Amino acid sequence: MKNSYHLVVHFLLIVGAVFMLFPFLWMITTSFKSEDEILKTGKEIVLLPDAWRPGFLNSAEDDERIRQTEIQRKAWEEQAALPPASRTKRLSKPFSTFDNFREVWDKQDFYRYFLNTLYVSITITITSLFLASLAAYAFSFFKFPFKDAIFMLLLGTMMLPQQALLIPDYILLSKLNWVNTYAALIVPWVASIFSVFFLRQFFLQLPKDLFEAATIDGCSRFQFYYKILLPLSKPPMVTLGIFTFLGSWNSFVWPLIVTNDKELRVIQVGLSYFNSESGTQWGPLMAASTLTILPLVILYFFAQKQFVESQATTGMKE
Amino acid sequence: MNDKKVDWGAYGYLFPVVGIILCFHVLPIFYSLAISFYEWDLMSDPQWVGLDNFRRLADDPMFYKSLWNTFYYAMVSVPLSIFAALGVAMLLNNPISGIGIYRTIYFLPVITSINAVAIVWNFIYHPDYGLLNKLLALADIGPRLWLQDPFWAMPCIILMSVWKGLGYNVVIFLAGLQNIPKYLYEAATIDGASRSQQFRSITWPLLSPTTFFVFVMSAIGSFQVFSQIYMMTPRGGPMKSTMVIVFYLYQKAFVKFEFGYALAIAFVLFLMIFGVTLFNKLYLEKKVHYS
Amino acid sequence: MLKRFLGLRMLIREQPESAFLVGVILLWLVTIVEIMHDDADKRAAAMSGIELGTRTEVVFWHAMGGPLGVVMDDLIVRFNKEQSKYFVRGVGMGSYDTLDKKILASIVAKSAPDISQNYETLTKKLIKAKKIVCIDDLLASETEDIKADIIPVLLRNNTYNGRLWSFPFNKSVPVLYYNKDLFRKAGLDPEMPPRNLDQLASYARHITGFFRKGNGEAAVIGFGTGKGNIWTFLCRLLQFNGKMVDEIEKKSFFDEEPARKALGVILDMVEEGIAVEGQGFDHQNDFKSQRVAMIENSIVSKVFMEAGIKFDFGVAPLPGAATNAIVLSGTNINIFNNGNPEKVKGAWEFVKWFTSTDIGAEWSVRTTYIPVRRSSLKSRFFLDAMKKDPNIAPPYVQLDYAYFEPRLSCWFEIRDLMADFLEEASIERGPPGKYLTKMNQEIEGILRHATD
Repeated sequence: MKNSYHLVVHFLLIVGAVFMLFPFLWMITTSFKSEDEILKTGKEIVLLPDAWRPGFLNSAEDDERIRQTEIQRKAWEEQAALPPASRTKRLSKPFSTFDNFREVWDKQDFYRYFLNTLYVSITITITSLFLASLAAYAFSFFKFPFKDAIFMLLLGTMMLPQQALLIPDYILLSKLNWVNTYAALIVPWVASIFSVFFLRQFFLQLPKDLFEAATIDGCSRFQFYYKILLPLSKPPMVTLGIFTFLGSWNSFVWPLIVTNDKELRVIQVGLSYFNSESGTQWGPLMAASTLTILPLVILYFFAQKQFVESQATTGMKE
Repeated sequence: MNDKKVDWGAYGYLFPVVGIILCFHVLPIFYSLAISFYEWDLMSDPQWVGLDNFRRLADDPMFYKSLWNTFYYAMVSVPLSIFAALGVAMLLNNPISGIGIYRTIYFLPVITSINAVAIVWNFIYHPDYGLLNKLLALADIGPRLWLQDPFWAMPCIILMSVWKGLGYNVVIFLAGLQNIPKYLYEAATIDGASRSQQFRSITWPLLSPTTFFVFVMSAIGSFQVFSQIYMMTPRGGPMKSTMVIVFYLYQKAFVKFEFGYALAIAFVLFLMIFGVTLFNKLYLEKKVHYS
Repeated sequence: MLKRFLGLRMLIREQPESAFLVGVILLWLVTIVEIMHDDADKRAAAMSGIELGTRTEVVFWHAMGGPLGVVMDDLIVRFNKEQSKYFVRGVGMGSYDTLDKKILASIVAKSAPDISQNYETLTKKLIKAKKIVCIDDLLASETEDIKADIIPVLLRNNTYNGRLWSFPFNKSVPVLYYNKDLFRKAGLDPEMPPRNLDQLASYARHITGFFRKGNGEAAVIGFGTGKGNIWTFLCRLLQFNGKMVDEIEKKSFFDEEPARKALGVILDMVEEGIAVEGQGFDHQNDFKSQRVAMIENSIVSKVFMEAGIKFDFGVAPLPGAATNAIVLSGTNINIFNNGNPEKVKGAWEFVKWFTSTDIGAEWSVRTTYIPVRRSSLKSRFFLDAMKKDPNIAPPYVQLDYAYFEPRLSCWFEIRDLMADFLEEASIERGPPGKYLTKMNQEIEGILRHATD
């Protein structure tokens, strides 16, 4: 009885997992497909790209296809070597496995976007964790005038849609001469109300006498913060760190508006450039999406254990 | 520490966060509020029009349409996401092997960027080359236009949004479920209560604080839904079927350059979210069972 | 000394946390100052291997992406190498949509570029807001009569109240693309593309029928276009001798027979199953994958499609109706007045160079945009290219009957409205009048409130 019940549970979970994973699978395999394969309209569903198939099926048909592609490639290379004016025929380049990725990586300076995004995200994550924990510390352990008023004011600002603040913020940035700088990408986002709120919630759960005992022992307020509070709050900090990093890695509208130069462009903006006037090229688009998502998945796999533990301990209670 | 002593140093701790929030959030809000009483196309100087923007809003059919679409989105996506997440969390709360793997898989969409996954779903929904129509063809169901179809566009976006946000709610529910003491279930099993009875009398009431948290966060989030609409139906959908309120605001501001009007919309939205939050705090929260 | 001056020593001893905070804030200030000195201009100059030195920097915001961006960058680098007074820094914004937003934001922030590609709607607003330089003033000090060499329709397009406020730059024409291989298979003459809408329909009917499989499904559809395509709708409107709007009388003419015919032609073909309408640029993909034998699209699409086309294809003038007519698309150049005459001069030197006979011809051949000058069309470069690629000449035939969209500040609003109605029409496929009557009413509503 117990066993069959568990079997049902597994079955349901696997069905769900397939639904959750399939879009990613589809994205990755599509990014290795040529335009011909992608634009096939027939009813059959081909998951694996042709370029992957030889390893799986060693049929005569495949050998023939590979041979044809080789001939095509030779012809194309000969043509491409000639100066444009003396080319006789217009030949299309045969597809090779990593062409979509090459298109993204080489032509779009994706590596530059990568570095920019990494720099911005890491700076935001570290700074905002530090600043938010300071503020949360003050909110949960200190007594001072207007404490509740300030806290409510902060919470209230979370309710206005970001889109409404774009223009006023932009004007402010331009007054500071920050448009088109890293500062514009970083500074407004190092103060996160959600983080303050989240950490305050965690701090309030800690026993009050902890603070008093430490103070009586001659511990200064700042010593208490970095000697006792910070080590204790590792789990919520990791959770917040991941969310902050994700948030800044994935932010799009703000960087689009406040930066102009290619040298400052972040990855989400770079991605959106694929989706523009030129008509949709699904292959490179999927390759770009894959590249955008990949670092996050890697990060998640590394931080996963920490993350899950902290979820359990913080409980995300309101 | 003396109870009456005021910690002036606290302001030092608050200064960086509060300073930045004041500069980049609070001041712009007042600026925006002021602009909502003007007519402004960014080029020429703003013209004072008093309450005109709000009056125009009151009889703007597209505004009501966007309100309705937002409610439609919220009404379908919030319960769907909550129940699906609760279901998955309860499945995961069994002592089975591979929990870690399942949890990772279900959480994967949460960490990915909405831009990237919207592109993937656009492709899945594509009428000619998309996966969805090909799958349906297996079951001999004729092709649909999905995102280009006024009826289906919104359900398509909702499905994608639920997929994207499910894992987040699963993790929160799972934490909530694990906080329910095991002995309650053991006692109930001894008393001969069935699984559904256990769910009704133990799980659901004891989980209500978590459900409440998830509900409030999802509701606020769904009122502000924007990115997936922008990425999947760049003009607000076929026959404006996915024109939600934030998208309308965005279009008024950045496509039609009617800034005063756009900010008037923003304030109505702000009041709505404020209202919902207040309603939750004052009314719903009383019904929540805190253990 | 510094410590004593700030009283820091006491602070550190008594209140280490405050000292720490002060430290963090100082660190931040240093970072910010550092970031601000991270000069974008110097970076750009260094990357293109040019010493900025005493050169005046001219910032050019454009929207050329993909292969068009490559040509643009190429030419900008060449300009910077050919002279030593100015340094043009091209900033690609990816799309017209983003560029438009950036221009407006920059006007508010008083940080406009020196040159940008703009639609007439924006130019009109910029004239009103006195943000741009009148090109006539720049032409006044030229010895050559540049105006006489500009293609007439482009000159008209950029003249507002008798003055040249913007300079023609990248205008394109709509064309018909057709698959010569499929034409051959279906027994049609690949050198005889349809010349008018009747022929287009009959060709489409023939091709769709020819490729119909046993189960009645057509493997190839005759004709493809964009869903609710405003541009080609306006072209057809003019082909049926229709009119768009009268800005003075505040009237629009979309509820009349020519407009109904223009919309009806496509709806009928779709209804009959010999044409398909794709979302956005989907018909381009349909053409590439040989699912559709003919499509109408901008000539610029050729640059984007060419690499993916594996068959013999032709480019032909857009099929006409009662008469031949096309509407131009694309943008012109505005030179901003940012208070520095050197920058204005540099901007003008660049625009003049870019649109000169030889460079203009090269730009035109490589991107398919119409050259600005008539002499470009007769230049050696252009004639040579024409010999090699038979698809270069056909679009230019259409310049004799080219028109442009109304230049109203509210035109984008009207266009947006039209997009809604045309989309509705293409979804429901009812009688054209059903959509056009209401569309016309609402457009006239906008015109009445507009402050042009």
